[in-house]
Amino acid sequence: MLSRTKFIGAVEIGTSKITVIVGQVARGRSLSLIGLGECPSRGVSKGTVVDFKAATECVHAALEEAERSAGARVGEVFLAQSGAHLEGFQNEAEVRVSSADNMVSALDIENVCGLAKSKQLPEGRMVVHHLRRPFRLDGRLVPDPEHLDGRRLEVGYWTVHGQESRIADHLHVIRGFNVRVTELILSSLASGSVMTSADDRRHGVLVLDLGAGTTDFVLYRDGCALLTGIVPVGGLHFTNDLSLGLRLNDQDQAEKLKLRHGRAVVTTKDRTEKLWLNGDLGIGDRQFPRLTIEQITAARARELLEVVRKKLGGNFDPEHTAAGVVLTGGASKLAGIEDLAAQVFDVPARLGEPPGWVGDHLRAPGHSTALGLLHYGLGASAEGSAARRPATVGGLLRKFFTAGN
Amino acid sequence: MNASPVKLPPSRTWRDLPQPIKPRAMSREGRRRRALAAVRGTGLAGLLLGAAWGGMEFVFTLKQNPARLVAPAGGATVRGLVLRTDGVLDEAWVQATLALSPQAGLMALDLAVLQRRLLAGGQVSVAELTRRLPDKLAVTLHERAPVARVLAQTGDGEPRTLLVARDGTVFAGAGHTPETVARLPFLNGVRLKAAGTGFVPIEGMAAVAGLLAAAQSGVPELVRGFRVVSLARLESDDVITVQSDDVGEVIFGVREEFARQLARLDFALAATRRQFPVGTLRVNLAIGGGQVLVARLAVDLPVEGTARPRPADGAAASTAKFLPIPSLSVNFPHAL
Repeated sequence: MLSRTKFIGAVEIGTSKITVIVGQVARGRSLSLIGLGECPSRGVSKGTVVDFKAATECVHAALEEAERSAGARVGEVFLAQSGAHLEGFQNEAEVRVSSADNMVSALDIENVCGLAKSKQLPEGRMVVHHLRRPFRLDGRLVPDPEHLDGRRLEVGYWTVHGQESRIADHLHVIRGFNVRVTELILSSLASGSVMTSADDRRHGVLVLDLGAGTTDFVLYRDGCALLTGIVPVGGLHFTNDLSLGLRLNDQDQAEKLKLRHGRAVVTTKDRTEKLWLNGDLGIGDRQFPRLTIEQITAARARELLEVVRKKLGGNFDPEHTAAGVVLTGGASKLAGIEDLAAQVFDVPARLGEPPGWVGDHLRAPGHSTALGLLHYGLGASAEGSAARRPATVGGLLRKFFTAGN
Repeated sequence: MNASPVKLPPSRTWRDLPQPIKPRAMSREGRRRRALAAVRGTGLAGLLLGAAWGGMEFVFTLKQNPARLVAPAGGATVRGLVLRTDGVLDEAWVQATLALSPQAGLMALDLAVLQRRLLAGGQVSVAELTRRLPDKLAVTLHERAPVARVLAQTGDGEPRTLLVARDGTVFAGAGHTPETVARLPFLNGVRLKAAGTGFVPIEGMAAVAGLLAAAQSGVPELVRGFRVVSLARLESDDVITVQSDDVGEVIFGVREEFARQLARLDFALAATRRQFPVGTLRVNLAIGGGQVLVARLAVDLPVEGTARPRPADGAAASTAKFLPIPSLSVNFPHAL
């Protein structure tokens, strides 16, 4: 009960599917991925819960499957958060170093950080993340200014906030399983933490997580997340475009065409080349021009990436994004998407590869967010737990009560 | 910019959202897990309450009546002994020696004290005492076997016969039959030194025990006649003198193997008795070189119907006048 091994469930409530990965954390240090549960999603649209009951059933089914596959009970959950309601802003602050000898103290750091985070949000909004950027001491970048000599200390935060009711809906879906959510993590941050290396983030990298209903992105610079964003367009829009463009009533058939023949850049030049829908010459089997399919998917893909580029605005600078663009998420399987990204962002682009310690069955791009939840969440927990939850008797008792949940 | 910044109240974060949820909003699995957690919580609470109550009771009793704390531990009285021994002592002796009161609690017994009582007499070499719950005391004894006896004069009373073990321990001896005691030879030429309630162990008893054991296995008909074993010359001459009914006086050297000496004695006696069927002899087996000196008492003691030499007379017997037997020539086989 008070074991030093805990089982954490990383839950991504996606638009097309629910993914749960169970991680076994021993002594707060080593992480083993021991269980996977997936369930087609219902009651979720563009990353937000729209039908509580349907979403709850799917999430709980995925959690149960993951627990069965892990052979262990999940004690706590790291939950991915996405959706168009999430927004961000940057806020900067600076303080004069207070000591007479100009040595930066812990109090100075606390003051400047507190000031940079103290931004009142509109009613009904609440903070999901405060992402700190590097400190600047008299204009120079420093990772930790304490005990350094300087006069002016500056820091900036990218604050991600969301609508309280939407966040609460997500939490309640998990709480319905009687498991506590201990970390709520932006999907893009989760994917970015596991799909990029520390070097990538230091050199500057843009991570695009192309999901079914949304596209989450995070731009890293100087080793820190500079900004995040969400575009409520994803792989399902490609499918929908195909369905409309080709006059297909069945979304599954459109999805099949997208997966087989969809491309992010048009490569076909032969206007007469046709493709069979099923290829079995059965009832309902039809032919479609390959060029049309490619044009539809490529147009939507380009539009999507350009929207992302536009949202990044002046923050995206190819010169400060030396590591390029990393694409992940289920929709990144669209052929040629990395070529298109390279064109749009004018930097090298590649499909994300999870680290070597991830097993083959979890290396699909659709699992990147759930993997990243464990990766990012454990780091965040380790940093924040000491401040948030001191090791008191009460804390241990609470741990006991929640361990069996 | 701000030397003393004005701090605004922190913005609400998702951690401020309450996570409790009503059971009706839970899935069946969630409700099941919640019930399980409640059961565990109740169990833990009961455990903690029990521990707290026990602690309070303990503290209260400690302050009010500390004697009650030890009473339950020693509450079960000893209702019996379980004795295992390799000797002759019986349960009655153990009970008398332990002197347990009828109300003695099993857990309140001081086993170390009881063990010392058992070892005090000397007859017991090792004593193990263990509590056998609920109400029995198990006693395992290893006893010293007597190899000789000795007369000891303590106070003004009659001399007491004490037994001597192979390691020289002198003890009163309990549980031995009179026949067993009567078969033991007396020790002579030793000085008993008191030590506490007993005596200092007698030195040289290992040699005596070796001699008697060799005689018992080699010449059992002869050893039955051994009456007195004298250690008077052991320290000075390395010899043991034995007064025997059948022979008279036999002197053994401790530097040579007793079995060889006994074989020579047997051979020499056979040769002598052919010439002198009766009469008291002195046979010296300790002169070395495989030689045996046989002498005959000048004034022979009566063989039948006369008192045998008493232990106290051992010294007098050894100073009696013996005449050598010049005509006796004993040729020992090479092996002897």
